[in-house]
Amino acid sequence: MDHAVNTFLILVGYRKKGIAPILDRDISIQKFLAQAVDPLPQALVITSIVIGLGIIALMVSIAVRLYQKYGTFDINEIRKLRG
Amino acid sequence: MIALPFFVIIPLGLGFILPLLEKWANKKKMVEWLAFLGSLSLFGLALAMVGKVGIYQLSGWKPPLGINYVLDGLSGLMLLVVSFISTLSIMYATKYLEGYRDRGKFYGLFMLMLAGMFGVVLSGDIFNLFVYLEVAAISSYALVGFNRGAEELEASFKYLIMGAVGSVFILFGVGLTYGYTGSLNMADIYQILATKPGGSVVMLMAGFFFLGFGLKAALVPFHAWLPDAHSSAPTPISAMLSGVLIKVLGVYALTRITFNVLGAPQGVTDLFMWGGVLSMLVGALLAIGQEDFKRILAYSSVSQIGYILVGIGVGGGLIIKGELAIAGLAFFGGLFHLLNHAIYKSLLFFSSGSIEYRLGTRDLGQMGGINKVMPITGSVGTIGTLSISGIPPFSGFWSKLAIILACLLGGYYIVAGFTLLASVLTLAYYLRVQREIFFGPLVDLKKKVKEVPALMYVPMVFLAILCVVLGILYLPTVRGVLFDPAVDILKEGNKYVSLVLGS
Repeated sequence: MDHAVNTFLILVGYRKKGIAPILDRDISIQKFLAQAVDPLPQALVITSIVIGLGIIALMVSIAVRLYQKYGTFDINEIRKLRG
Repeated sequence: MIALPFFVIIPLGLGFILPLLEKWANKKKMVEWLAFLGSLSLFGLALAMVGKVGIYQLSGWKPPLGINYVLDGLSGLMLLVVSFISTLSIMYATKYLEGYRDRGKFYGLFMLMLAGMFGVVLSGDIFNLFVYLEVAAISSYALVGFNRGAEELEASFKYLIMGAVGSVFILFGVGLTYGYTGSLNMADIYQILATKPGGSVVMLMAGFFFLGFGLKAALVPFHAWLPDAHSSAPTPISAMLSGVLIKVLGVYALTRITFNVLGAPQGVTDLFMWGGVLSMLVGALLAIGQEDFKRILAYSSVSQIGYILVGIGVGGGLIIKGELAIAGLAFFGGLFHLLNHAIYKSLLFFSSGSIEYRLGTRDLGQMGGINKVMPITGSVGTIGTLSISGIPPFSGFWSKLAIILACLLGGYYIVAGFTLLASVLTLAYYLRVQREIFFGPLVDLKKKVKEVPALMYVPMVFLAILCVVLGILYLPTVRGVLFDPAVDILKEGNKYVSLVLGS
């Protein structure tokens, strides 16, 4: 799900036949404005990827601990909490 | 407003220093003192900010371009609540956590959570808000499983999955908003949306935000993780999660985005109202059947969050109808209930923790007569239960009264009826709590039970005094300073815009 949203964010800033948003010496400002893709969503995506990595790291470490306690990964057997 | 970034800098810095201090220098007492002094200084800073407004531009970029921190009435109120409850929680934790390992890591995570919450409250940039929200959420996932027992880990995992799904919804909402308006500054988005035709895209954004923040605020039907997480966490964390985290990440962010960014579109306020009514009733009904003291408190949080949302939703509905005075009353009721709930729910969680500390159980059947053996815990717990069930002299009554009055004056008779019904249900399950825990015969225990140490009961006494005092000071003093600026920000979205963009 994370990746679907990340792709969506990239698409928000994309335009057809866009160029990378790097202002080079060879490109005039007008051409840059007309053709470059929006760099801001890319900045957002890299942040959200890092956050996703943090969540997955925490998730895996909790899962390992859960396996130590319950001896299984079966979510039907990890049910001590009810009500 | 040079002081604003310190709300994030101090806890963020402490969050990294404290675990290192414990690991390398092994200074346990110093860690505790630093954590306490840090949060106390933040409370002092928040008190100094009461009644002030202003913005802080990061790196000097002007508002529509750069990221900025915004202090207005609403965020000032939230800063005060968060820093106050966190100071008392740390005070309580010093004694409660005595037997725990890795206390430096505990305080480190606590401070990171605090930094995230202050960031959410202050941020004026919608993506920045999301990042801070994740900072607070990830540290709270880790804190819930801090005991590393089987049940704690299970609760933490459940909370993590639900929280991550909620975050994805919020991120998608942010993406949609950026795609439609081309701006991430919250005030700027409000202005752009005011000129564009609204309609289905704005509704879609509001829907995604409602789903995401609703998951964080544990509204029914997204509440399944809350009773597990809040009852498994160490008690000071339970008090933080129930007292402030669900309000900051859930209610505050949802309210801010709906009213000050999307401009409170018609229909969304009804969603607030009916979502609130549903949470209120389902939370209260589920709480009645519980046997575990902390689970009762957790379900009661679901129910009380419902009250807050009903207040805010009714206010939003009345703005659309054009009845601004009654809308102000409804917003006031919702925000006052938010403050009250933070106070008495942390009080009740503290007293449940004290009882667990001495008796070693949370089962209602295995306790009784606490008033006789632990007089201070017993009496403050009784005040907390009376206040949350809305008995007249205490603070809980006044905020419920304001919400119900606003519903009646605004013509929402059915909502008012449901609110009254939920109030009666709340009274029912707290009377049961009182009968089985605080009064009644002493359960025969092998070990001798005595009062908890002073560091644990002093925060509870503070909160209990506030429960009484806020009820008495209701109209003249508190309202004018604390609530009126917050209510004004919700009533008029333009105010937020003119504060940030300075037009």
